[in-house]
Order: sequence, then structure tokens, then C-alpha cells
Amino acid sequence: MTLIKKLCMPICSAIGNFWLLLAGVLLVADLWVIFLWAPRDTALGDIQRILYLHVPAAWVSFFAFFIVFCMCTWYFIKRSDKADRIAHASAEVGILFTTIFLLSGIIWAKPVWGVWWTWDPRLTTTLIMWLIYSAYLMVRAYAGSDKRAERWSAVIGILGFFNIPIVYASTIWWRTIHPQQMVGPASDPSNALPDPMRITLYFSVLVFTVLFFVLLNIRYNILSAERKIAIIVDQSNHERV
Amino acid sequence: MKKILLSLLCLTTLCSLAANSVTSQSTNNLIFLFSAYLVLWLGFFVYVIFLKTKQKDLQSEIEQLQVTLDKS
Repeated sequence: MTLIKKLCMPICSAIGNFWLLLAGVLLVADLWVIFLWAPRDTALGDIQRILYLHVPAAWVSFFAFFIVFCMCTWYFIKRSDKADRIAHASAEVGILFTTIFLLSGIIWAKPVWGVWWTWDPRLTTTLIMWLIYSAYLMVRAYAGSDKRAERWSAVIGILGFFNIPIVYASTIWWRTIHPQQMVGPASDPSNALPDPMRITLYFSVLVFTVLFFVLLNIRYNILSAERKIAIIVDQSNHERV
Repeated sequence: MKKILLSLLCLTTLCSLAANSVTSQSTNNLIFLFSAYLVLWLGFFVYVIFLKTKQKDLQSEIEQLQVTLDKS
């Protein structure tokens, strides 16, 4: 019975997740700030409000893949199962945010650039990033034995991260039609956002980061429970033999 | 994961079709804004549903394990 309780604990904590509800409330508050508090952009009009979901989704994607990189490195140093599970969960949630990042960009591009997609350096490198981490998840799903999947995906998790600085700096290094950074270390002061817009953007980044940690925690708990169940089933099979 | 990506792809296709048919200067690109936020919310909902389904599967697996342990 104690064993079953131990197994159920992470699942129960995930199901009754207070944090998920809090993230939902924060998302609604974020919508209020974006649509009712932030001023309308004089040049682009309302379409500029896509920025408040596009940029935070990009930030969370980079952060998620940075966690994947750190955890994969930790996995190679310590052979830690926990690191592997965090990397797996982070890559999956990161792919979700990258998909939102890409799709919101595509939807923004049509009215502003007149096309859904163009092979601009920023767009292309972002698509490559999405493909790399999709490959990571595919390797996890199809590599066969657990240990082999862990090793191969860790290699992709480490090597794939080297694309992230390229995605970030692509608007600086190459000629691009993508807008230049308006916040962050590489931003141009002459291109800075007005204060209310900048505050709205920072709030959105905060909300998306909270949501990322909530989803990461739930996914990690599920992966941990799955792993424990697999170990117990293996042990009981060995005992029978 | 496959389901999430497929749903998002279908949604974007629908939104782009809607945007293509409705877009005019008078609508002031609001359909695009709506589409982007719809993708965001739907993406989260589909992922949360995916997580809940995983949890349900695990619960039933645990119940089966419980029965097996009780028998042995």
C-alpha cells in the first residue's frame, strides 16, 4: 500500500495543481493588460499586440532549451535519471512554446510583410531550432532501449543548443526584414519601446515563464511516475522468472 | 505531441483561410490578432488535455498494479 501511495503522490500533486490554476488566472490578467491597458501602436495598429505573445514565447523557448542543454550536460557527467527527465520535460514544453512563437510570427507576417513565410535568417534559424528539438523528441520516442534513447537525445540536446545564439543574433549578423530587438542586451536604444508597452511585455514574459514552470513540473511528475511504474513492473517480472 | 502539432496545424490553416477571405483594411487586421491569440490558447488547452490523458492512463496502470500486487 505504501508503494502505491508513493507512486500516486506525484500524480495527485499534478492533478490538483494549484499552480496550473494560478497560471490560468495570470494568463487572463495578461490578456487584460495587453488589450485594455497597453496603448495602441500608432504605426502598426492593433496587430502590434501579437508582440506580447510572440516575444515571451520566444524567451520561454530559449530558456527551455537552455535547461535542456544544462540537464543533458549534467546527464553525461553524473548519468542522472532525474536530469534526463527534466531535459525531456523541458524539451517537450519548449517545443510547445516554439510552435506558438513560430505560428504567431507567421500570422503577424501576413498583414505586415504581405507573405505568410519568407526565408529570412531569423525565420529560417527558428525553424531549424524547432526541427532540432522535434528530432530530440523523436529520438526519445523511437530509439528503442531507454539508455540508448537517453544518450542519443542528450547528444542532440547539447549540440542543438548551439543554434540558440545564432537564432538570437541572426537579426544582427545578417541583413533581415525581421524587426530588430527592442528589449534585451542586443537592443538598440533608438528602437526602444515606450514605457507602457515595455511594462506589458515584461509582464507577459513573467506570465509565460510561470506557465512554463507549471507545465514543466506537471510533465516531470508524469515522467517520474512512468519511470517508477516501469521499474516496478520490470522487478516483478524478474521475480516471477 | 503529434496530436498537438496536428491540431495547431489544422487551426492555423483554418485561421489563414478565414483571414484570407475576410481581410480588408476596414477589419484593421483584427482577424490576424484574433487568430494568433486563438493559437496560443488552443495550444495550451490541447497540451493540458494531453497531460491529463497521460495522468489518467497512469492512474489506471497503478490500479492494475495494485490488483496484481494484492493477488500475489
